[in-house]
Amino acid sequence: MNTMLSAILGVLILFGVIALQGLILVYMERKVSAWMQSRLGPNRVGPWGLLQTAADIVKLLLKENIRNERSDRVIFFLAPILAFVAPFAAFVTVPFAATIGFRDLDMGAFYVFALGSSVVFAVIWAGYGSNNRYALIGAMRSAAQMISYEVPLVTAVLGVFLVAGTLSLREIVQLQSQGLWYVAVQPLGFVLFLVAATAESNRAPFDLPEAESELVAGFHTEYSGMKFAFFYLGEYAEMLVSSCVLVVLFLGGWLIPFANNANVPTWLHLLSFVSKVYLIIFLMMWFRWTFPRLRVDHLMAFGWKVLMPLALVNLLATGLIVYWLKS
Amino acid sequence: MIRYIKDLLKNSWALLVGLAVTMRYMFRPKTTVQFPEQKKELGDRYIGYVKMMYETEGEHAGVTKCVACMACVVVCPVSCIQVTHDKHPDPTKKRIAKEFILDYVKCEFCNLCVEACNFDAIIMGHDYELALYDRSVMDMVLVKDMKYHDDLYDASRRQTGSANRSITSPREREIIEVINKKEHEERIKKAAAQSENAS
Amino acid sequence: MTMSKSDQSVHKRSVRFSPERSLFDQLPAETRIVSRRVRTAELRTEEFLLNVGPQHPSTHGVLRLVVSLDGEVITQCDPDLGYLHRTFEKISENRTYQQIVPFTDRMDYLGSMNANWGVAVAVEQLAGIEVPERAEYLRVIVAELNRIASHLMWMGAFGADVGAVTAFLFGFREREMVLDMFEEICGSRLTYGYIRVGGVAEDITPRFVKLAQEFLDLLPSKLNEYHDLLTGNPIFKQRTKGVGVITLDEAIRYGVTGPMLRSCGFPWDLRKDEPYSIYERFDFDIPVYYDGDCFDRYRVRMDEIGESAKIVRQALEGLPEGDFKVKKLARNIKPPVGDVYVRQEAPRGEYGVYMESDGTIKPNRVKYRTPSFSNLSILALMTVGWKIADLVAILGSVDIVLGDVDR
Ligand code: SF4
Ligand code: SF4
Repeated sequence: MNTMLSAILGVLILFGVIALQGLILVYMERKVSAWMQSRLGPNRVGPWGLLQTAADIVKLLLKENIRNERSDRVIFFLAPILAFVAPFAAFVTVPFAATIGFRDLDMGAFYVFALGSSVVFAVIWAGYGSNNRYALIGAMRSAAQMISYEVPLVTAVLGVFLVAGTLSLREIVQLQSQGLWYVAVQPLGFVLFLVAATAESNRAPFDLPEAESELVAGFHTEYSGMKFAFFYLGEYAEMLVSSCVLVVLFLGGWLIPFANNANVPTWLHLLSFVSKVYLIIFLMMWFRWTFPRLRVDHLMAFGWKVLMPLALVNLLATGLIVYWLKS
Repeated sequence: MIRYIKDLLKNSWALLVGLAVTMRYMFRPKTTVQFPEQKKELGDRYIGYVKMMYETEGEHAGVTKCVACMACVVVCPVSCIQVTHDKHPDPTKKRIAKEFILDYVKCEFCNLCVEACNFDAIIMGHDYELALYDRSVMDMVLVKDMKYHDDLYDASRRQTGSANRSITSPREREIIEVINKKEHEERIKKAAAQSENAS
Repeated sequence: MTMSKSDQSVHKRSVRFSPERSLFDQLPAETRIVSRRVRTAELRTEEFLLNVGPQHPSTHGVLRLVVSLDGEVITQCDPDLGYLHRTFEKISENRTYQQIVPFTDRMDYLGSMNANWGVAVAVEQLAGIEVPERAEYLRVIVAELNRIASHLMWMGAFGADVGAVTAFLFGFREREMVLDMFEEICGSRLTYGYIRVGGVAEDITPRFVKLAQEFLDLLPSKLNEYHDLLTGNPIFKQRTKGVGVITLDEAIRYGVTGPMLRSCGFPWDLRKDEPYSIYERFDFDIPVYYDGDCFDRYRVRMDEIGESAKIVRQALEGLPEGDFKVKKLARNIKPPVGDVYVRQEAPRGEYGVYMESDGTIKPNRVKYRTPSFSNLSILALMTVGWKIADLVAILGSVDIVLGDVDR
């Protein structure tokens, strides 16, 4: 009973935190994009436009839910839920600070990647279920993209696991506290992971499934109201999860650089974690508002011909060095 | 192999150059003009919409300057001006416009009518906030019974409820200050009261 | 005038047009054959029809394209025009000669100055009106500024088409400066009606000159920024290089003009070839590239911005004193019976006006030859074999204004 209660409480807290993060991220995205384009961004609703995203959520909640008459009712309904739930569930194993986190899984990293790749089902469902040709093309693109990026993504982080010798995210951070952060040990792996994670979370320049200027809104063309909001939130949750994992694997998780991490209060650890995550997210936004979108075949070529060989080289080199050091 | 690496480095560098551009703009002053509060300065020749001019002094102050010569009616490419005439109250002059109606929906803001008028009776006002909810009032009556009348201005004020609309053209401001100040203030008050009532 | 370094083309590939050689000598000896890759799948699959437009983010107005797809590859593309047809030719036949000018603003609304100019020159040639020299200079200045504004806006829209939204805002920001100048001289920001029969509407002001100088000084640095942001970007290159290639032969057969023709390696620009107005007094180059793909169309336009800036600079320096329009002009011009065809180089290509007078105050027949229409007609050929993402890039690279296509 007790575990049940604490589980429900945990889910609620997690949901609240992620929804709040979603609001903040949307606001941040707007501000960053505006500043980069020498605009001001939202500044009317609330101080500095802080309440703009809240107002948008209210708008989306109040909007009518429109469903295409010939769409597949069940699939159409399930897609936005899965799109949000999958990245949401991945948070369970992320260690936010030394003592904060929901569950430590021995196979934590594996679990996160497995859930991350299941988002593609949501996209395919949405594309198939909404009976719209633009959506269908978006879904097909998404399937192709996911395969080409999942493989280099995982291959890129294998190096880290080789060095660390564990798949538990918490242990990986603890190992980093004793020596160098893995970004110094695995610089190539870091860059590859960053690129692949951007592609994985369907962010520009890899936002082919929703490519606005080509496919109107891609797989969620037919969605409106709260269902659309769930896709939106899902995208940001996905982005959050990938940056959390990136921070944990390469940037020392909650660790504070150049400080004795043993006797630092937990809230400082948490702060350090959050600021690192936001730094990565800022990077992703920076990419989005600078680069043109890749074409679908170039994206595939980039995944298989650039990222994959580099990831393999990285893996091979790491393996050899680890073997040489051990023996 | 070497070319592969060279290309990779070259392309990464080009991407970084692009990133630098957007990063620079992040910290530069922004170009946005915050519209209702800040307004761009308009040139003297700005074409807002057609406004009527009035005698500013003498016995017939407040009476339109239009003598119904029909030059503007003829020159207008979309035939959107209608003028009816009457006897001028001033015996030295012959005719005066009794009613001057401009179909604001048709007008294409070409300025030809203003250029055609030899009596400086019409000018281009600088007011561009003329949003309306209703097409029926867009037949703007600029002269009614030979007097100042501008229903479009009133109507847009009433319908959009913005009583604090500024008059941006110096020339216009002058006219209104000299002749119609009192009348104008009354109008503003009336419009404000109406918009309050409406909301 | 000494040329400052920043005035030079960034790519250093702009070639000078040589008037001695005849047109057909300049055709390349063998026009390259580009294989249009229409892949037929081994599996017989159903055709996938996609209706792009008339409401679609990247059709630049109300253009409808019916696209047949094989996977993502386009097998057929049928443009469906006419959504913006406003019968301007017939309207023009029912107006007096001076009244026609404001309507032409609405055809090519991004290059209104050039649209006005064509009509004005046609009427002047019919009626034998001599335009003062200062008016000619002013016409050149505003037309070239309009070309810059049009190309800047195109650059932004093209960036947005391939997914670089920031370029869109940048292009608009600089275009705004040109619009400010136009607002200063003619009071409008989009439909100028500035170039009139017998001159221009009003003289320029000192503030206009100041704004123009500021803009011209700023332009090179901004152009460099665009090159950093787009031209050098490997993703942008991948999206545009070799995409939507047309050969010179095809371009000529379809009547393609303007930057699209010049990107196929044919230095055809009416400002050099049939120098109208006072263009022969200025020193400028015609940028030409040879691949005929989206990237070359982009580069031609970007280089043209610099060349137009050069012309504006020279024209401002050499601006003579005098009248800005013909002093005595009849209210209603009655040209003698006859006809005239005037063609000019608008930002999008060759803009032609045919006008036939029957001796009354209204023309008997008016025909506009607008560049966007013939440039768009080659779209069906250009897009076959490319992907749906390329369709957007190729359509963007044509630089159509739907008002200009449908009239
Ligand atoms: S601005 Fe042009 S269209 Fe409007 S009323 Fe005057 S002449 Fe007619
Ligand atoms: S406004 Fe001017 S041109 Fe028109 S009728 Fe009156 S006096 Fe004549």
